[in-house]
Amino acid sequence: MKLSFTLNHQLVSVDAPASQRLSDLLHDTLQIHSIHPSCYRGECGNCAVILNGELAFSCILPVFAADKGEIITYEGLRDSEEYEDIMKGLREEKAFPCSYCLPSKVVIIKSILENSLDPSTQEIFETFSGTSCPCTNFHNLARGVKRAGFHRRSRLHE
Amino acid sequence: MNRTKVFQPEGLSELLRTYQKYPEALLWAGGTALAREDRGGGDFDLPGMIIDIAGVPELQRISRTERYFEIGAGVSISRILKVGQHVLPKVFTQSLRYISHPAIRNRGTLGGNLCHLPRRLNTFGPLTILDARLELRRLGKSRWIQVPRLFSKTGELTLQEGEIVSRVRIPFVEWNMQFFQKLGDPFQRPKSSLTFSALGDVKKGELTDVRVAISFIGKSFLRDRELETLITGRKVPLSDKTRGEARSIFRASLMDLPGEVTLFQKERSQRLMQWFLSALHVPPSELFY
Repeated sequence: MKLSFTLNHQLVSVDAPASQRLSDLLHDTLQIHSIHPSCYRGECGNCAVILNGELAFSCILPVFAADKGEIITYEGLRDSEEYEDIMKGLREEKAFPCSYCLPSKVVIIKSILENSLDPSTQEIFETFSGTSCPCTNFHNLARGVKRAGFHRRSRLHE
Repeated sequence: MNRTKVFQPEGLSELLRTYQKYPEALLWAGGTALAREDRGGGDFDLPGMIIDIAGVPELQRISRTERYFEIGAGVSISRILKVGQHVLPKVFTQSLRYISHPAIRNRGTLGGNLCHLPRRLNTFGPLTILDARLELRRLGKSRWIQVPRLFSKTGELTLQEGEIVSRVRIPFVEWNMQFFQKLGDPFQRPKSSLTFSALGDVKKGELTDVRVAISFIGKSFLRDRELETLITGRKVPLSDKTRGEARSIFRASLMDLPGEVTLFQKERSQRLMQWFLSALHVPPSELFY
Protein backbone atom coordinates (compact mmCIF):
# COMPACT_ATOMS: atom_id res chain seq x y z
CA MET A 1 0.00 0.00 0.00
CA LYS A 2 1.37 3.41 -0.98
CA LEU A 3 1.30 5.94 1.82
CA SER A 4 2.26 9.54 2.08
CA PHE A 5 2.34 11.63 5.22
CA THR A 6 4.29 14.38 6.87
CA LEU A 7 6.87 13.13 9.32
CA ASN A 8 8.53 15.79 11.43
CA HIS A 9 7.60 18.47 8.90
CA GLN A 10 8.91 16.51 5.91
CA LEU A 11 6.78 14.78 3.33
CA VAL A 12 7.37 11.03 3.27
CA SER A 13 6.15 8.49 0.73
CA VAL A 14 6.52 4.79 1.49
CA ASP A 15 5.20 1.48 0.32
CA ALA A 16 4.22 -0.77 3.22
CA PRO A 17 1.82 -3.65 3.83
CA ALA A 18 -1.48 -2.35 5.23
CA SER A 19 -1.21 -4.70 8.18
CA GLN A 20 2.13 -3.33 9.36
CA ARG A 21 2.14 -1.46 12.65
CA LEU A 22 2.91 2.23 12.42
CA SER A 23 5.51 1.85 15.19
CA ASP A 24 7.38 -0.75 13.15
CA LEU A 25 7.26 1.38 10.02
CA LEU A 26 8.63 4.38 11.90
CA HIS A 27 11.31 2.44 13.76
CA ASP A 28 12.47 -0.11 11.20
CA THR A 29 11.88 1.59 7.86
CA LEU A 30 12.05 5.28 8.62
CA GLN A 31 14.78 4.99 11.25
CA ILE A 32 12.96 6.85 14.00
CA HIS A 33 14.86 5.37 16.92
CA SER A 34 13.12 7.30 19.66
CA ILE A 35 10.20 4.91 19.13
CA HIS A 36 10.58 1.75 21.20
CA PRO A 37 7.77 -0.63 20.29
CA SER A 38 7.57 -3.06 23.17
CA CYS A 39 4.12 -3.94 24.54
CA TYR A 40 2.18 -3.86 21.23
CA ARG A 41 -0.99 -3.29 23.24
CA GLY A 42 -0.98 0.46 23.79
CA GLU A 43 -0.06 0.04 27.42
CA CYS A 44 3.55 1.20 27.85
CA GLY A 45 3.59 4.44 25.88
CA ASN A 46 7.10 3.96 24.51
CA CYS A 47 5.88 4.39 20.95
CA ALA A 48 4.06 7.69 21.58
CA VAL A 49 3.74 10.09 18.65
CA ILE A 50 1.60 13.09 17.88
CA LEU A 51 -0.67 12.10 15.02
CA ASN A 52 -2.71 14.90 13.46
CA GLY A 53 -2.23 17.00 16.58
CA GLU A 54 -3.27 14.32 19.06
CA LEU A 55 -1.36 11.87 21.20
CA ALA A 56 -1.36 8.35 19.75
CA PHE A 57 0.42 5.12 20.56
CA SER A 58 1.77 3.95 17.23
CA CYS A 59 2.02 0.25 18.17
CA ILE A 60 -1.77 -0.13 18.03
CA LEU A 61 -2.17 1.72 14.75
CA PRO A 62 -1.89 0.16 11.33
CA VAL A 63 0.14 2.16 8.83
CA PHE A 64 -2.92 3.32 6.90
CA ALA A 65 -4.05 5.35 9.93
CA ALA A 66 -1.23 7.77 9.11
CA ASP A 67 -1.98 8.14 5.41
CA LYS A 68 -2.23 11.82 4.41
CA GLY A 69 -1.70 12.74 8.05
CA GLU A 70 0.97 14.49 10.05
CA ILE A 71 3.26 12.76 12.54
CA ILE A 72 5.53 14.43 15.03
CA THR A 73 8.01 12.34 17.00
CA TYR A 74 10.67 13.19 19.58
CA GLU A 75 13.12 13.88 16.73
CA GLY A 76 10.79 16.53 15.37
CA LEU A 77 10.55 18.29 18.70
CA ARG A 78 14.21 18.37 19.69
CA ASP A 79 15.05 21.64 17.99
CA SER A 80 12.01 23.52 19.21
CA GLU A 81 11.54 26.05 22.02
CA GLU A 82 8.85 23.78 23.45
CA TYR A 83 11.42 21.07 23.92
CA GLU A 84 13.67 23.43 25.88
CA ASP A 85 10.74 24.42 28.10
CA ILE A 86 9.84 20.80 28.75
CA MET A 87 13.40 19.82 29.63
CA LYS A 88 13.82 22.86 31.85
CA GLY A 89 10.59 22.06 33.70
CA LEU A 90 11.57 18.42 34.24
CA ARG A 91 15.05 19.34 35.45
CA GLU A 92 13.80 21.94 37.87
CA GLU A 93 11.37 19.52 39.46
CA LYS A 94 13.84 16.63 39.54
CA ALA A 95 11.58 14.62 37.29
CA PHE A 96 14.05 13.67 34.61
CA PRO A 97 13.04 10.29 33.10
CA CYS A 98 15.45 7.51 32.13
CA SER A 99 16.94 7.66 28.66
CA TYR A 100 14.72 4.80 27.47
CA CYS A 101 11.42 6.52 28.13
CA LEU A 102 12.52 10.17 27.86
CA PRO A 103 11.46 10.54 24.19
CA SER A 104 7.97 9.19 24.81
CA LYS A 105 7.53 11.26 27.99
CA VAL A 106 8.54 14.42 26.07
CA VAL A 107 6.01 13.62 23.34
CA ILE A 108 3.30 12.98 25.93
CA ILE A 109 4.10 16.23 27.76
CA LYS A 110 3.97 18.08 24.45
CA SER A 111 0.47 16.67 23.86
CA ILE A 112 -0.65 17.71 27.37
CA LEU A 113 0.63 21.25 26.88
CA GLU A 114 -1.00 21.38 23.47
CA ASN A 115 -4.36 21.03 25.21
CA SER A 116 -3.61 23.39 28.07
CA LEU A 117 -0.59 25.36 29.23
CA ASP A 118 -1.90 25.07 32.77
CA PRO A 119 -3.00 21.43 33.00
CA SER A 120 -4.50 20.00 36.16
CA THR A 121 -2.71 17.26 38.09
CA GLN A 122 -5.58 14.93 37.25
CA GLU A 123 -5.19 15.56 33.52
CA ILE A 124 -1.48 14.86 33.76
CA PHE A 125 -1.95 11.66 35.77
CA GLU A 126 -4.67 10.51 33.41
CA THR A 127 -2.47 10.99 30.35
CA PHE A 128 0.47 9.24 31.97
CA SER A 129 -1.76 6.35 33.04
CA GLY A 130 -1.05 4.93 29.59
CA THR A 131 2.66 4.56 30.39
CA SER A 132 4.44 1.96 32.46
CA CYS A 133 8.10 2.97 32.96
CA PRO A 134 8.58 3.38 36.71
CA CYS A 135 11.74 5.51 36.48
CA THR A 136 10.12 8.77 37.55
CA ASN A 137 8.03 9.72 40.54
CA PHE A 138 4.67 10.70 39.06
CA HIS A 139 4.12 13.55 41.49
CA ASN A 140 7.47 15.07 40.49
CA LEU A 141 6.58 14.44 36.88
CA ALA A 142 3.27 16.29 37.27
CA ARG A 143 5.10 19.21 38.86
CA GLY A 144 7.63 19.10 36.00
CA VAL A 145 4.83 19.29 33.43
CA LYS A 146 3.25 22.23 35.23
CA ARG A 147 6.62 23.95 35.43
CA ALA A 148 7.13 23.35 31.70
CA GLY A 149 3.72 24.91 31.10
CA PHE A 150 4.77 27.89 33.18
CA HIS A 151 7.96 28.35 31.11
CA ARG A 152 5.97 28.01 27.92
CA ARG A 153 3.45 30.63 29.05
CA SER A 154 6.23 32.98 30.07
CA ARG A 155 7.94 32.59 26.72
CA LEU A 156 4.72 33.20 24.82
CA HIS A 157 4.07 36.38 26.80
CA GLU A 158 7.58 37.75 26.32
CA MET B 1 2.78 -11.21 3.05
CA ASN B 2 -0.65 -10.08 4.19
CA ARG B 3 -2.48 -8.58 1.20
CA THR B 4 -5.16 -6.53 2.85
CA LYS B 5 -6.91 -4.09 0.57
CA VAL B 6 -7.82 -0.82 2.26
CA PHE B 7 -10.59 1.45 1.01
CA GLN B 8 -10.52 5.02 2.26
CA PRO B 9 -13.83 6.64 1.28
CA GLU B 10 -14.01 10.42 1.52
CA GLY B 11 -17.76 10.72 1.98
CA LEU B 12 -20.74 8.80 3.37
CA SER B 13 -22.22 7.86 0.01
CA GLU B 14 -18.86 6.51 -1.17
CA LEU B 15 -18.57 4.55 2.09
CA LEU B 16 -22.07 3.05 1.73
CA ARG B 17 -21.47 2.15 -1.92
CA THR B 18 -18.20 0.45 -1.06
CA TYR B 19 -19.72 -1.40 1.89
CA GLN B 20 -22.65 -2.58 -0.20
CA LYS B 21 -20.24 -3.92 -2.79
CA TYR B 22 -17.99 -5.57 -0.19
CA PRO B 23 -20.18 -6.38 2.85
CA GLU B 24 -17.54 -8.79 4.12
CA ALA B 25 -15.08 -5.91 4.57
CA LEU B 26 -14.16 -4.85 8.09
CA LEU B 27 -15.10 -1.29 9.03
CA TRP B 28 -12.11 0.34 10.69
CA ALA B 29 -12.85 3.42 12.80
CA GLY B 30 -10.24 3.99 15.51
CA GLY B 31 -9.35 0.31 15.56
CA THR B 32 -8.26 0.55 19.19
CA ALA B 33 -10.28 -2.38 20.50
CA LEU B 34 -9.39 -4.59 17.55
CA ALA B 35 -5.71 -3.67 17.78
CA ARG B 36 -5.54 -4.30 21.51
CA GLU B 37 -6.88 -7.78 21.01
CA ASP B 38 -4.19 -8.56 18.48
CA ARG B 39 -1.68 -9.89 20.97
CA GLY B 40 2.06 -9.96 20.47
CA GLY B 41 4.26 -8.12 18.03
CA GLY B 42 4.50 -8.46 14.27
CA ASP B 43 1.95 -7.26 11.78
CA PHE B 44 -1.76 -7.13 12.51
CA ASP B 45 -3.83 -10.11 11.55
CA LEU B 46 -6.20 -8.23 9.25
CA PRO B 47 -8.92 -9.60 6.97
CA GLY B 48 -8.68 -9.28 3.19
CA MET B 49 -10.62 -6.03 2.97
CA ILE B 50 -10.86 -3.03 5.23
CA ILE B 51 -12.88 0.15 4.92
CA ASP B 52 -11.16 2.91 6.84
CA ILE B 53 -13.90 5.37 7.82
CA ALA B 54 -11.64 7.98 9.43
CA GLY B 55 -11.94 10.29 6.43
CA VAL B 56 -15.76 10.37 6.26
CA PRO B 57 -16.79 13.87 7.40
CA GLU B 58 -20.49 12.99 7.87
CA LEU B 59 -19.51 10.58 10.65
CA GLN B 60 -17.44 13.22 12.44
CA ARG B 61 -20.22 15.68 13.15
CA ILE B 62 -21.63 16.71 16.50
CA SER B 63 -24.81 18.76 16.70
CA ARG B 64 -27.20 19.91 19.38
CA THR B 65 -30.83 20.94 19.46
CA GLU B 66 -33.06 21.85 22.41
CA ARG B 67 -34.21 18.26 22.75
CA TYR B 68 -31.22 16.13 21.94
CA PHE B 69 -27.52 15.83 21.23
CA GLU B 70 -26.39 14.02 18.07
CA ILE B 71 -22.97 12.47 17.71
CA GLY B 72 -21.54 10.95 14.55
CA ALA B 73 -20.41 7.36 14.98
CA GLY B 74 -16.87 8.29 13.91
CA VAL B 75 -16.37 11.00 16.54
CA SER B 76 -13.53 10.20 18.90
CA ILE B 77 -14.17 9.66 22.61
CA SER B 78 -11.83 12.57 23.48
CA ARG B 79 -13.74 14.95 21.25
CA ILE B 80 -17.10 13.99 22.75
CA LEU B 81 -15.68 14.66 26.21
CA LYS B 82 -14.21 17.96 25.10
CA VAL B 83 -17.36 19.20 23.39
CA GLY B 84 -20.06 17.67 25.54
CA GLN B 85 -18.74 17.25 29.05
CA HIS B 86 -20.93 20.04 30.46
CA VAL B 87 -24.09 19.25 28.54
CA LEU B 88 -24.23 15.50 28.08
CA PRO B 89 -25.71 13.29 30.83
CA LYS B 90 -23.08 12.51 33.44
CA VAL B 91 -23.77 8.77 33.34
CA PHE B 92 -22.67 8.84 29.70
CA THR B 93 -19.62 11.11 30.07
CA GLN B 94 -18.45 9.07 33.03
CA SER B 95 -18.65 5.90 30.93
CA LEU B 96 -16.42 7.63 28.37
CA ARG B 97 -13.91 8.68 31.02
CA TYR B 98 -13.60 5.06 32.08
CA ILE B 99 -12.32 4.15 28.62
CA SER B 100 -8.62 3.49 28.96
CA HIS B 101 -6.36 6.57 28.70
CA PRO B 102 -6.23 9.68 26.47
CA ALA B 103 -4.02 8.13 23.76
CA ILE B 104 -6.70 5.47 23.25
CA ARG B 105 -9.60 7.90 23.63
CA ASN B 106 -8.10 10.13 20.92
CA ARG B 107 -8.43 7.27 18.44
CA GLY B 108 -11.39 5.24 19.72
CA THR B 109 -14.82 6.22 18.42
CA LEU B 110 -18.34 6.04 19.80
CA GLY B 111 -19.47 3.79 16.94
CA GLY B 112 -16.57 1.45 17.58
CA ASN B 113 -17.35 1.28 21.28
CA LEU B 114 -20.96 0.36 20.51
CA CYS B 115 -20.38 -2.13 17.72
CA HIS B 116 -17.31 -3.97 18.95
CA LEU B 117 -17.97 -7.70 19.14
CA PRO B 118 -18.01 -9.86 21.14
CA ARG B 119 -18.13 -7.29 23.93
CA ARG B 120 -20.63 -4.67 24.88
CA LEU B 121 -18.30 -1.97 26.07
CA ASN B 122 -18.76 1.08 28.30
CA THR B 123 -21.31 3.15 26.44
CA PHE B 124 -23.92 0.48 25.76
CA GLY B 125 -25.48 0.50 29.26
CA PRO B 126 -25.71 4.29 29.70
CA LEU B 127 -27.07 4.82 26.18
CA THR B 128 -29.68 2.11 26.77
CA ILE B 129 -31.07 3.65 29.94
CA LEU B 130 -30.92 7.15 28.44
CA ASP B 131 -33.25 5.97 25.65
CA ALA B 132 -30.69 6.95 23.03
CA ARG B 133 -31.40 6.07 19.41
CA LEU B 134 -29.11 5.02 16.62
CA GLU B 135 -29.33 5.99 13.00
CA LEU B 136 -28.47 3.07 10.73
CA ARG B 137 -27.61 3.82 7.13
CA ARG B 138 -27.16 1.74 4.05
CA LEU B 139 -27.19 2.74 0.42
CA GLY B 140 -30.44 4.59 -0.22
CA LYS B 141 -31.99 3.74 3.14
CA SER B 142 -31.87 4.87 6.73
CA ARG B 143 -33.69 3.87 9.91
CA TRP B 144 -33.61 4.70 13.60
CA ILE B 145 -33.54 2.08 16.33
CA GLN B 146 -33.33 2.02 20.12
CA VAL B 147 -29.85 1.11 21.38
CA PRO B 148 -30.80 -2.36 22.78
CA ARG B 149 -32.03 -3.37 19.33
CA LEU B 150 -28.49 -3.14 18.01
CA PHE B 151 -27.99 -6.66 19.38
CA SER B 152 -30.13 -9.76 19.01
CA LYS B 153 -31.08 -11.91 22.02
CA THR B 154 -28.07 -14.06 21.31
CA GLY B 155 -25.79 -11.04 21.34
CA GLU B 156 -25.16 -10.69 17.62
CA LEU B 157 -25.26 -7.34 15.82
CA THR B 158 -28.58 -6.86 14.04
CA LEU B 159 -27.14 -4.67 11.28
CA GLN B 160 -28.19 -5.71 7.81
CA GLU B 161 -25.79 -6.32 4.96
CA GLY B 162 -24.01 -3.11 4.02
CA GLU B 163 -25.52 -1.22 6.97
CA ILE B 164 -23.60 0.98 9.38
CA VAL B 165 -24.32 2.95 12.55
CA SER B 166 -24.00 6.57 11.46
CA ARG B 167 -25.32 8.71 14.35
CA VAL B 168 -26.26 8.45 18.00
CA ARG B 169 -29.05 10.66 19.32
CA ILE B 170 -29.12 11.27 23.05
CA PRO B 171 -32.20 13.03 24.44
CA PHE B 172 -31.83 15.74 27.07
CA VAL B 173 -33.79 14.61 30.11
CA GLU B 174 -33.12 15.84 33.62
CA TRP B 175 -32.04 13.13 36.07
CA ASN B 176 -30.96 14.14 39.53
CA MET B 177 -29.21 10.85 40.23
CA GLN B 178 -26.77 9.37 37.79
CA PHE B 179 -24.22 6.70 38.41
CA PHE B 180 -21.75 4.69 36.37
CA GLN B 181 -19.22 2.17 37.57
CA LYS B 182 -16.90 -0.11 35.64
CA LEU B 183 -15.25 -3.02 37.36
CA GLY B 184 -12.33 -4.87 35.80
CA ASP B 185 -10.67 -4.62 32.42
CA PRO B 186 -12.91 -6.08 29.68
CA PHE B 187 -9.90 -6.89 27.52
CA GLN B 188 -7.69 -8.53 30.10
CA ARG B 189 -10.27 -9.98 32.48
CA PRO B 190 -13.56 -10.37 30.65
CA LYS B 191 -14.82 -12.99 33.09
CA SER B 192 -14.73 -10.65 36.05
CA SER B 193 -15.54 -7.28 34.53
CA LEU B 194 -18.87 -5.51 34.24
CA THR B 195 -20.39 -2.07 33.96
CA PHE B 196 -23.21 -0.77 36.16
CA SER B 197 -25.25 2.22 34.97
CA ALA B 198 -28.10 3.83 36.86
CA LEU B 199 -30.42 6.81 36.56
CA GLY B 200 -32.88 8.02 39.12
CA ASP B 201 -35.19 10.96 39.54
CA VAL B 202 -36.39 11.97 42.97
CA LYS B 203 -39.16 14.54 43.41
CA LYS B 204 -40.55 15.48 46.81
CA GLY B 205 -38.81 12.56 48.41
CA GLU B 206 -40.31 10.08 45.98
CA LEU B 207 -38.45 8.06 43.38
CA THR B 208 -40.44 9.00 40.27
CA ASP B 209 -38.31 7.13 37.76
CA VAL B 210 -35.41 4.73 37.99
CA ARG B 211 -33.40 2.76 35.44
CA VAL B 212 -30.59 0.33 36.06
CA ALA B 213 -28.55 -1.64 33.52
CA ILE B 214 -25.71 -4.06 33.98
CA SER B 215 -23.52 -5.13 31.11
CA PHE B 216 -21.35 -8.16 31.65
CA ILE B 217 -19.00 -7.08 28.88
CA GLY B 218 -19.57 -10.31 27.00
CA LYS B 219 -22.90 -10.87 25.28
CA SER B 220 -25.00 -10.69 28.43
CA PHE B 221 -26.88 -7.62 29.46
CA LEU B 222 -29.41 -7.15 32.23
CA ARG B 223 -32.03 -4.50 32.65
CA ASP B 224 -34.38 -5.62 35.36
CA ARG B 225 -37.77 -4.02 34.65
CA GLU B 226 -39.46 -5.85 37.52
CA LEU B 227 -37.05 -4.33 39.99
CA GLU B 228 -37.45 -0.88 38.43
CA THR B 229 -41.24 -1.15 38.69
CA LEU B 230 -41.02 -2.25 42.31
CA ILE B 231 -38.98 0.71 43.51
CA THR B 232 -40.49 3.41 41.27
CA GLY B 233 -42.94 5.58 43.21
CA ARG B 234 -41.47 4.61 46.60
CA LYS B 235 -40.23 7.09 49.18
CA VAL B 236 -36.48 7.29 49.58
CA PRO B 237 -34.55 6.11 51.43
CA LEU B 238 -36.13 2.79 50.62
CA SER B 239 -37.45 0.75 53.53
CA ASP B 240 -35.66 -2.42 54.58
CA LYS B 241 -38.62 -4.44 53.31
CA THR B 242 -38.52 -2.85 49.82
CA ARG B 243 -34.78 -3.26 49.62
CA GLY B 244 -35.12 -6.93 50.57
CA GLU B 245 -37.79 -7.52 47.92
CA ALA B 246 -35.68 -5.71 45.31
CA ARG B 247 -32.66 -7.81 46.16
CA SER B 248 -34.64 -11.03 45.77
CA ILE B 249 -36.00 -9.95 42.39
CA PHE B 250 -32.51 -9.03 41.24
CA ARG B 251 -31.07 -12.32 42.48
CA ALA B 252 -33.71 -14.22 40.51
CA SER B 253 -32.95 -12.22 37.38
CA LEU B 254 -29.27 -13.02 37.74
CA MET B 255 -30.09 -16.72 37.94
CA ASP B 256 -31.82 -16.49 34.55
CA LEU B 257 -28.70 -15.16 32.84
CA PRO B 258 -26.82 -17.49 30.49
CA GLY B 259 -23.88 -19.54 31.72
CA GLU B 260 -21.24 -17.21 30.29
CA VAL B 261 -21.83 -14.84 33.22
CA THR B 262 -19.54 -16.04 35.99
CA LEU B 263 -20.48 -16.39 39.65
CA PHE B 264 -17.93 -13.71 40.42
CA GLN B 265 -19.64 -11.25 38.06
CA LYS B 266 -23.01 -12.09 39.62
CA GLU B 267 -21.64 -11.52 43.10
CA ARG B 268 -20.09 -8.19 42.07
CA SER B 269 -23.30 -6.98 40.46
CA GLN B 270 -25.35 -8.00 43.54
CA ARG B 271 -23.08 -5.96 45.77
CA LEU B 272 -23.29 -2.94 43.48
CA MET B 273 -27.08 -3.26 43.40
CA GLN B 274 -27.18 -3.53 47.18
CA TRP B 275 -25.11 -0.37 47.44
CA PHE B 276 -27.28 1.42 44.91
CA LEU B 277 -30.50 0.58 46.75
CA SER B 278 -29.12 1.80 50.05
CA ALA B 279 -27.60 4.96 48.54
CA LEU B 280 -30.92 6.31 47.23
CA HIS B 281 -31.41 9.31 49.49
CA VAL B 282 -32.76 12.83 49.59
CA PRO B 283 -30.81 14.95 48.84
CA PRO B 284 -29.01 12.64 46.45
CA SER B 285 -25.90 11.10 47.88
CA GLU B 286 -22.69 12.81 46.79
CA LEU B 287 -21.72 9.50 45.22
CA PHE B 288 -24.15 10.29 42.43
CA TYR B 289 -23.25 12.81 39.74
